[in-house]
This record gives sequence, C-alpha cells and structure tokens, in this order.
Amino acid sequence: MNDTVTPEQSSADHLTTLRHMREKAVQGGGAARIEAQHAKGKMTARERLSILMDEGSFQELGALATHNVTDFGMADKRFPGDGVITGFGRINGRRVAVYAQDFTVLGGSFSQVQAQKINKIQDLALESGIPIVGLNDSGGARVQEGVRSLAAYGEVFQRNVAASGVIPQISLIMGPCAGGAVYSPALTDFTVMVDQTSNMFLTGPEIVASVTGEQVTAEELGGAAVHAGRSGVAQFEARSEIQALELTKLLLSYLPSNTSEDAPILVSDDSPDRMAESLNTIVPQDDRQAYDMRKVLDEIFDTDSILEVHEAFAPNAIVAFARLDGRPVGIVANQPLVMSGVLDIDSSDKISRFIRICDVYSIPVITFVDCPGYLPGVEQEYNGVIRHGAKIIYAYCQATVPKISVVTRKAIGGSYVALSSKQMGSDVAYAWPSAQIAVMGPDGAARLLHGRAIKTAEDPAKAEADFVAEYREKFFNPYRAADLGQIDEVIEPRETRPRLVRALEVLQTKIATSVPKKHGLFPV
Amino acid sequence: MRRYQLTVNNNEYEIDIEEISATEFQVQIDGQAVDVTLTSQADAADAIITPQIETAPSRAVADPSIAAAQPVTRAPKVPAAMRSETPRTPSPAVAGGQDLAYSMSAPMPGVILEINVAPGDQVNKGDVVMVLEAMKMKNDLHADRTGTVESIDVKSGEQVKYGQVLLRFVKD
Repeated sequence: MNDTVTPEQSSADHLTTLRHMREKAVQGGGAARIEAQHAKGKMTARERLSILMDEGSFQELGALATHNVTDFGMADKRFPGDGVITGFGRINGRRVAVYAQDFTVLGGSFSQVQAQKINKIQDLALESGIPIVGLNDSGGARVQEGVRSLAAYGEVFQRNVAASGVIPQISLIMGPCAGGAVYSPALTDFTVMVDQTSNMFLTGPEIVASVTGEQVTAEELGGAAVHAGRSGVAQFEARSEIQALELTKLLLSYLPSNTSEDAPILVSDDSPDRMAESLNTIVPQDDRQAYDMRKVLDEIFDTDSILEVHEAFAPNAIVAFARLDGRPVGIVANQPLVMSGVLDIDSSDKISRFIRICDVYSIPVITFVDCPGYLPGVEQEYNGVIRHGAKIIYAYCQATVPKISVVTRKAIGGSYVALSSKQMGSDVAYAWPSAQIAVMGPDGAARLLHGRAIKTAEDPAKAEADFVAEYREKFFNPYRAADLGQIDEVIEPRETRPRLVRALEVLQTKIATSVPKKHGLFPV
Repeated sequence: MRRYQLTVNNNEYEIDIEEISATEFQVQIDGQAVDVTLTSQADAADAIITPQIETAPSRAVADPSIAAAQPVTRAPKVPAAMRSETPRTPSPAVAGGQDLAYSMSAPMPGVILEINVAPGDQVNKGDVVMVLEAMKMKNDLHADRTGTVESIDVKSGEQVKYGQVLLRFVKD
C-alpha cells in the first residue's frame, strides 16, 4: 500500500499522510456516486450528519477502518470507513452517539467492519448513558463477505436489546432496508421513514412476485406510507430527509438521555393558568356526533408542543408527546372522529407500546377517555383482541410514572377499566360533566335488565323508552363514579389545563416500589 | 433579547433581536427599530463532517451584559408541516385481498349510509368517500390515497363486514 509510513519520513510527512487519508475518507465512494445519490433525491451520510448534529460538535471514530476481504475482487474495493460513519457529538447541546451508513460506498452494504464500528458506538452510548441515532441507507448484507456479514447483524441486535429501555434509540430509514437489516430498527424505540426514498421489507418485490404472484413495487410493499399507516412498523413518516432529521432533534427534546435521568424541562411561553373557554362547548350534545380530540388536546397543552407518534397507524387512538408548562408528558387519547374511538388490536399495540416508552423514560402519562368499548366482530376475536387488549391493561398497571386521566365523554364497560382507571393505578382521575361512565349502553341495559317487563308491557316501545331515560339519568353521568371515588373530581372542561399542571406538580416526586423480579410476562 | 455586534465591510453594527412570537421579531439596528417576520427557516447541509475536529470560532464575549442576555433554553415548537391535517381511516388488510395498496376496506362492521363517489371520479387523499354507521355513531371514511375510483364494491344501506373491500382505485 502507498500509504505505509517509513521510518525515514519526517513528522511533516506523517501529518501529510494522515491528512491525505482523512481526505479520502471524506470523499466516500467518490464524486460519481455522490452525484448518483443526489440524483435520487438523497443526501450523503456526511450531509445528513451535518444537519443532524450541532455545528462543529461531531467527532468521528473509525474513519480509517477498512475490510480485509479479497474474494470476488473485493481487494481493490477498499474505502476508508467501509461505508459507515460512526461517532458522537451534540444535538441541541445534548450528547448523542450516531452512526450513518454511506450508500455511496459499496451500496452501504453491511459488513463485518461496519458492524464492529457500529457495535463500538453502541457500547459507548450505553456505557455513557446517551441516546443513539442510526441513519440507515444500505443495500443489505455484503454478499462477498459470506456468512460473516450475517453474524454481524446478530452483534448489532444483541446490543440493541441490551440498550433497550436504558438509552433512547432512534432509527432513521433513508434508503433501502431489507432482510435482516429491518430488525435493528424494529428493536429500537422509534423508526422514522422518509416518504418515497425509503423502504423496509423482509422479502422484496421479486420474491413476493415469485411466491404469491402478486406484482408490487418496493414503495407499495414497504414504503413510508405503508409502514407509518397500515403496518405501524414506523412511528414517523417524514416528507423529506431534512424533515426526518429535524423531527429526530425535536423528538430527542422530549426524552431524557437515559432511563435514570429526567427529560429536560424547557421554558414555555404558554401560561400554566390559561383557561380554554372553547372546551366547555366542544363535546356535542348529541351522543352520535363525533368531535376532534386533537382540537381538545391543542387547547390544553403548551402551544405547538404536541408531537404525535404513530399518527397514521390506528388513528382511532392518539398517542403523542407534548409539554405542560414546559414539562414533557405523554398523551394517550381516544379519537371519536375515527371508528367512534373504539379500541381494537392495532390501537392496543399502539397505546401499550407508547405507555411503556413513557414509563421507562419517566414521562408522566395523561389519558383522555372517550371510548364506546372494544370493536365487536368475529375477525377481532379470532385475531386475539383479548390478548392484544390485555397489553393496554398490563402497560398501565406496570407503569409507575404519574398517571392522570380525564374522561371527556364515553367510558363504557371494559374500556372504562382498561383506560387508566383509578383502580388500575391512576393517581388523579378527572371527568368532565359530559362524561358517561357506565357498565353498558342504555339500550343494551334495557334489554338485559327489563327485557321481559318491556315485552309484556302494554306499550313495549314506551316502556323501553322510559327505562332508557331512567338509566341515562341515573348512570350516564360522572356523578355516580365520583360518588364512589372512582373519579376524584368532576371539572369544568375549560379548567383542564391548570388542573393538570397543578396535579403534575404534586406528582413529580411520586415514588412507587414493586417487588424485584427478572421481568414480567408482557402479553405480546 | 439577543444582541449581535458585527462588522460588515469595516462598518460596525449593533443589532438587538427580540423574539415576539415564533415568527415575529423586533429588530433594532444601531437603535433603529424594524419589524421582521420570519417566513421559513431550514437547515442546509453546509457544516463539514470530517474525521478532523472542526472547532467553532471562539466567541469572545466583550460585554458581560450580553452573556447575561443569553436566552434560557426555550421549548422547541412542533412545526405545522410535521402535523398531517389529512384525516385518516384505517383500511385493514384481509386474507386473499389483491392489490391492497389500491383498495379501501371497512375498518369496522356496520352499515354504509352514504356513498359520495362513483367509478371514474377523481378523489384526493382525505376526501370523505363514504359514511359508515357503526357503534351507534356516524363515521366518515376518508380516501387513503389520491387517485381515480375504479369501482364501488358496496351499496348504500348494505351491512358490511370488518375488512370487506369497499372501493378500488385505478392501479397506476
């Protein structure tokens, strides 16, 4: 190799050699490949990092690492860094570790050296207790390396799991991500996909076509819209690479650096005592009419602070990060506008996953309940809505962070219990006067309790209507529950923000202890 | 308030910037007040990411009152562009369905009350294409893609099952 340094060389030569090698590392796969990357509407790994990291904060590790493979002409294809940039730096002044695959170098293909570099930075992040962000853009395993590159995936997975729940792990998908490579993002806390330029699948369109005969494009099979909407594999869908990077910075602002720290409390422009008059009239008089829960949340939390997670997946539920007087909180809410706000398999997955993330990072959970119950149907039962619905209950019961609930309208049957009820460890339970907290709806109750009396009555329709009216008056309000202590306080909707701010202030020092165990058996 | 002291072409300026809201600023250049509105801001990939350490030029603080005026850490705003205003309706995948990416299915069992589109119509993502009555509530079903309607697979008043195909889009 030309770069070898001989003893005769002066120290000036040493420096020249180093600078020359570093220059080569910066060029990645060369000008032609960089141009090809730009032509696809994608940035290079270094360009992405320059947007993600605070200026001048990035420090690279392993820039000169190359592979030792000689099979299939690989001896001539050595690039310093081997297709991944690893290092650490700062985002909004806070320390983070990062790795970014470089598609311009051998298609970003995953090699043993790549894995070693990523592993080192994963270990560093875990031991230092700082978040790790991975920018994925890789054609897959480096086939020329044989089984070595497969083993390398295992090394990354092992560290993903070791770090899970200790430090935030965020994966950005900014290009292809296929086969084994999809599992590292799936093991991390958040996956962000870029619309049109990224895709994720276990088996690609060719294999799907040869096995099932179905013709699909990569975008139709595993594009950002598919995973952010139908499958829920991605928590965020960004319209551009820049937006994906900005979103990552924003997301990190709600999270602590690790599980033993608290997320930063930032200064908010919004008054903690602000009343939201419009909330007093937001719930329609007619039960059958829906309203937009997002408008309710916008009025209560700090202005422009709500960051929805899984926005397009299971939209009958809303989960989001937000701030309340500058303090990060997690929101779980039903969305009456979509599917009447019912709970089903997908929304159970969405809600339970989010509660566990909030719990592990000490972020209080505030739940807004307007849920008519679980979605009835043969398909839901056959697909195991019981074991999926159990996840919500498990997650709420397990969570030791402050939990506050607000019943805005329907809290009926199982959904009342499952969604942060007082008995399942809710610290403070509020209800609006429009709340309907009951075991079942009035029509069902009429048939069940007075079916015979109604049938034998002179005017069955009138008898039923009378019973329904009586049931509504007695049970379809928050006062029976408040009477029994199941609701702590019935509040005016406009007071919700100041009430929540005050409750959180008290609960910030909450301590809950549990019996030590290896781990619970979460109903997956 | 933030104070910048800069020199442009050997002319010294003192600029005070006060943030009134996220997009409005009161700026004073050498004591002369101007109103500034921020229309957009985006980072550009210009900082160089190299194996070399790039240190930022040292910020000499000449006047200690400037250091005191440094703003405290403010909560970042979620830009409106990151929030989708398009309402979404889930479209569950069912076994044996063909071209799932180009069809809409019933998110829950219920009765179709209204059908607002016909084959050949052009619809935009988020448009209300049908109304489904289920769980004693009227649910708007929103198109999950922009495209041309190929066929409507249900009739008004029809009882639909979970996952039943409601309409298909022309595959492009």
